[in-house]
Amino acid sequence: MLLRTFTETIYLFSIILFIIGLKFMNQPERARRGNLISGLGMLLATVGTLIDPRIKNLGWIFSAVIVGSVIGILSAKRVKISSIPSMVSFFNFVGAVSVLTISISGFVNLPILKEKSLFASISIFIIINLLISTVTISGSLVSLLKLQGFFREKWLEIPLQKFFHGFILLSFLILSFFILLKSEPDLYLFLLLSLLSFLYGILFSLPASGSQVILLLSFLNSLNGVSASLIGLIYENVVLISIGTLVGSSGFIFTIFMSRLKNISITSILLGNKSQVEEAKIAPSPASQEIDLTDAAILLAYARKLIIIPGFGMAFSGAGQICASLLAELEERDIEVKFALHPLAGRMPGHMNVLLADANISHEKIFDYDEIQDEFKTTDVVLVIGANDIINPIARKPIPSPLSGIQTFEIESAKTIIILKRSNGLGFSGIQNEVFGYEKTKMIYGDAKWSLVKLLSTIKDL
Amino acid sequence: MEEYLGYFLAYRYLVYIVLLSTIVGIEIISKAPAILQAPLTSGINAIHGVLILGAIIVMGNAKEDDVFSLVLGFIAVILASIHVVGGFVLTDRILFMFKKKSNKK
Repeated sequence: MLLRTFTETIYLFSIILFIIGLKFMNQPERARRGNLISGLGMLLATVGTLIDPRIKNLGWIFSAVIVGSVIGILSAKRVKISSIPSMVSFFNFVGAVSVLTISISGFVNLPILKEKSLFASISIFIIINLLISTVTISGSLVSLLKLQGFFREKWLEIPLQKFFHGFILLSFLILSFFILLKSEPDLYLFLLLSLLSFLYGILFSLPASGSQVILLLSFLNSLNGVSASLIGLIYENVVLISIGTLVGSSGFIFTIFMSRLKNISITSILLGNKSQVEEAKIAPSPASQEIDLTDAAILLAYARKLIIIPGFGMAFSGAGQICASLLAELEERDIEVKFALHPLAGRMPGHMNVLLADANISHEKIFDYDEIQDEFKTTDVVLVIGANDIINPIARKPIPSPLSGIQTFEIESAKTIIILKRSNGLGFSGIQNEVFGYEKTKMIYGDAKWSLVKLLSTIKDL
Repeated sequence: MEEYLGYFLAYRYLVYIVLLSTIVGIEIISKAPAILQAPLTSGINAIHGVLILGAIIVMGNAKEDDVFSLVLGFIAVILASIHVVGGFVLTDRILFMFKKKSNKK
């Protein structure tokens, strides 16, 4: 009895710590501390659970925790900066598999659970968890692969998509109904249900274009929170219930927050919005002009005002440091240099901020969309490093496209544009960008880091 | 109908918890500045590693001879540990870089 009270008290404290921690993460100065506080809350809650006398098999639990922690620490520490969103996706995936395992276990032990629990409706919770976890599993798996460039430029179109979605959802509901009617767990039905929701997860995450993937990730985050909460309801664990709901709601608001930023509606993601892509692909491929390094170096060195636009290509190639060196060299020549950060640049909001921060590029040189938009017309050279969609003017035209409604940098008003790009390929959203064909646009193909290294040394020789 | 009202009354504390947690969640996130979006996504991801408690409970409730549940529980705990520990370390990494940046001012 005493231990049980102890556990519940610990739970109370851990919930408080979680809330404070999350609150702190809202402020840049205290964000890191906030994370530590949440972590502490997590640790406390775990200890509280282990103390509970109803928990047996401690030895096994400990070894499992240690193995998992080691794997978790290693993978989080070794990942490249540009792969951070993929890592988040991966952890989402791992968490969802965990939920699945828990659900399966719950299902198998259904009769026992039914006796112990307050609820008669546990089966509903387990089934909902099943749906959520399998959708998250396939959803985050597909997102992970997309972020790693696996599905590049290959639009996997499924005809009658909405029909399939509806069909699968309907079958799922009917089958769930049957399962609930039976008093004993039916393994085969359960497996069929799992398969169906797995398919649904693939179907609804597959059509997602570049920036939509991040939205998907955040949405799946939120779903995972809800499943944690449901598990809490099944096993009567107050931390799971409250923190799970917390994550579910904050994750959801966050997703809406981001979707408003990108002008994408959530329903269009859930149902797939392929039609927009077709129109934009009709435009012919622009003929672009390459420029050699010496000419580019001269353009850069003799500009009076320069704006640099970082993009995913810069992060992918690890060109942060070299960019900082280039910045230093240019400033020594009394050139005014500014960085224009688009909220959608990179694979994740804040991606570019992280990249530039890592290269120690001063906050004062970094400007967001509203601050810098008017300056392009007075700029001599715009240097675009591995960015594409965020400078695509099609977003501002009345043609429907994956970028419709999104604000993009109006670099067309600048005098010269130099673009560093890996290849002649399409951007993350899979559509053409007419800027590459402009008279004033000069292309430098190749890995961003390499190009910058060569550019820098050429400039130094001038 | 009466049955459902009865449910609500019996479980009202749970309803309050869920309701309050939802509101707290919404409140906390709505004040987030744009630069913190990357660490927050990662942070929220880490926090739903609270799942590990569920995994521990499942494993803890398994009877000694129930190999199936033990194995399932073992897998669940390992995965949840990867999720939670990895998530927090990753978030810390992202925030570490922010710390350097703000120190430059």
